[in-house]
Parts: sequence; structure tokens; C-alpha cells
Amino acid sequence: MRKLTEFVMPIKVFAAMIFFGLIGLYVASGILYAAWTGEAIEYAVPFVFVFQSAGLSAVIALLWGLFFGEGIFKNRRFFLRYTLFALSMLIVLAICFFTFLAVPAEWIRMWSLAAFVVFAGTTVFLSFNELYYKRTGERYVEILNAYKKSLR
Amino acid sequence: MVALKVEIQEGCPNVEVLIQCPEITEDIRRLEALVLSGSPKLLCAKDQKQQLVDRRDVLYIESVDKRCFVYVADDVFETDLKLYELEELLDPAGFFRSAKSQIINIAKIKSLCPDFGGRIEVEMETGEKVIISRQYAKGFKERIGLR
Repeated sequence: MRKLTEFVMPIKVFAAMIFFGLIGLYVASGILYAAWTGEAIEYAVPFVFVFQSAGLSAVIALLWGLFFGEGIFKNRRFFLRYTLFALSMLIVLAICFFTFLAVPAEWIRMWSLAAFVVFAGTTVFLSFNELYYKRTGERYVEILNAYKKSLR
Repeated sequence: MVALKVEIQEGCPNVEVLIQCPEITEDIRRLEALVLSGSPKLLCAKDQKQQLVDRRDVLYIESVDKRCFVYVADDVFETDLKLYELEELLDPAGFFRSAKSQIINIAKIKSLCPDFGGRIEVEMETGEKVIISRQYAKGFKERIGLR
């Protein structure tokens, strides 16, 4: 029970934050889109979107907990965890965007593009980081070997 | 009540410790392990049988659900000692507390690679990978002379 609570509580808090973000994103997109097209600003958020974004928030938080929590990926490198998270997120978002999410089609294009740019950008950044870490690791190993000799 | 008696015998080749007790309890097992901590071997158990494991063979020690497991190349043993006791015992012997629930044998590390968030990925001689958490990474670097 304690373990379940330790797993569920941070995910619940994170899901609430994502939910808040999604609703904010909906409102911000509406304002931006209205400003862009000159149409009247629609502040109302469809009730069905509230339900859908609550579900989507829970899924995103679960994926986060799975890949970045203390579970099966605990001893894996951040790059691998992030890449798996980004791929699964893109799949989840694609399913939501192109099947049932109650959002105008124009916003879907904008949100899809933004999500892809964010994930692709961070993956490229982390790839360069990995190269840097590998080089740094080689220097660490040289120093470690010298230390191991001193242990004998 | 525990009574302690030390007898000095001239010409005695080995130090001998005799524990007399009405039954084997967890405290007695821990006492046994602590007595043996002076030797280069760790008192461990596997399949209800006690075994001595050479410290030099240990890759790392992990605490899971308040139980300590000793990992060697191709086997896992359980010890009655607590992780903090093992840390005190093994630290001078080239071991390092690498995470809240883990101690690693520095001599058995094959390679190191830093990771995002200040962690360090460690590859043991067996190819097994463990992580030195951010809280302990600084201490590890200082220990091996990286800083």
C-alpha cells in the first residue's frame, strides 16, 4: 500500500499540473487564433475537452512515472529514458489529436508541430550531451584506474 | 542480558569468539556478522545456508525492503547487517556508498560515464550497470581524485 501511494501521489500531482497546463493551452490557443484570424475570442472551454484533457494528463503523468520513476528504467541512462518517453508521447498525442480530441483542426496542426519540434529539439540536444558525456567518461576512467592502482 | 568475557591465552594462534545463546535470533545473526567483520570475508546467507563471501569478490550491495543483498559475479547473497553497518565496515576497503540503498566496490568498476542530472553511470566488470545518484556523485569524484 505504501509503495502504491509513493508511486501514485507524485503522478497525481504531476497529472494535475499537466491538466492545468492543457486547459491554459486551450485558452491561449483560442486567444492567439482569434487574434490571428480576427475572429471573436471564444473563452469557453468545451466540457468534453475538460474530460479528455484530464485523461490525457493522467496518461502523460503515467508515462513520465514509468520512464523517469524508480521503476524498471531506474538504472538506465537519461537519454534512453527521454527518447522512449518522447516516442511514446508522440504516439499518444498523435492518437489523441487525430482521433477524438475536441480541438479545432487548425490547432491540431499547430500543437502537433510544436510537440514534434520540442521533442526533436531536446533529443538532438541530448544527443550532443551524450557525446560530451562519453568523452568525459573516458577521462573519468583514466583517473579511476589510477585510483584502483592505489588501492592494491 | 549479554555478558562479555575476554580471555587472554598466550600462544593462542587465532582469535576465537564463542557465542553462547539459548536460540539463534536475528540479533545473534547480526552479532555473528559483526564479529566476522574484522575478517576479509562477509558472513552471508543463501537458501538458509550461511556462507562466507570474500569482500574482494563483491560487486555491489543493495538494500531492498530493509534486506541487504550482496551481489557477486554470478550469485546473490543476503546479509543480516544493515547497509549503514556495511558502509562503515567496507568503506576503508575500497567500497563506496553510491546511492541511498546501494554500496559499490570501486575495485570492480570497469567504466564510468556521467549522465544528465549529475548522476554517474557505472559499468561493473561483469557488464552490469548501476547508477551513482546525484547526492553521492560529488563524494565519489572526490574519493577517486576527480576534484
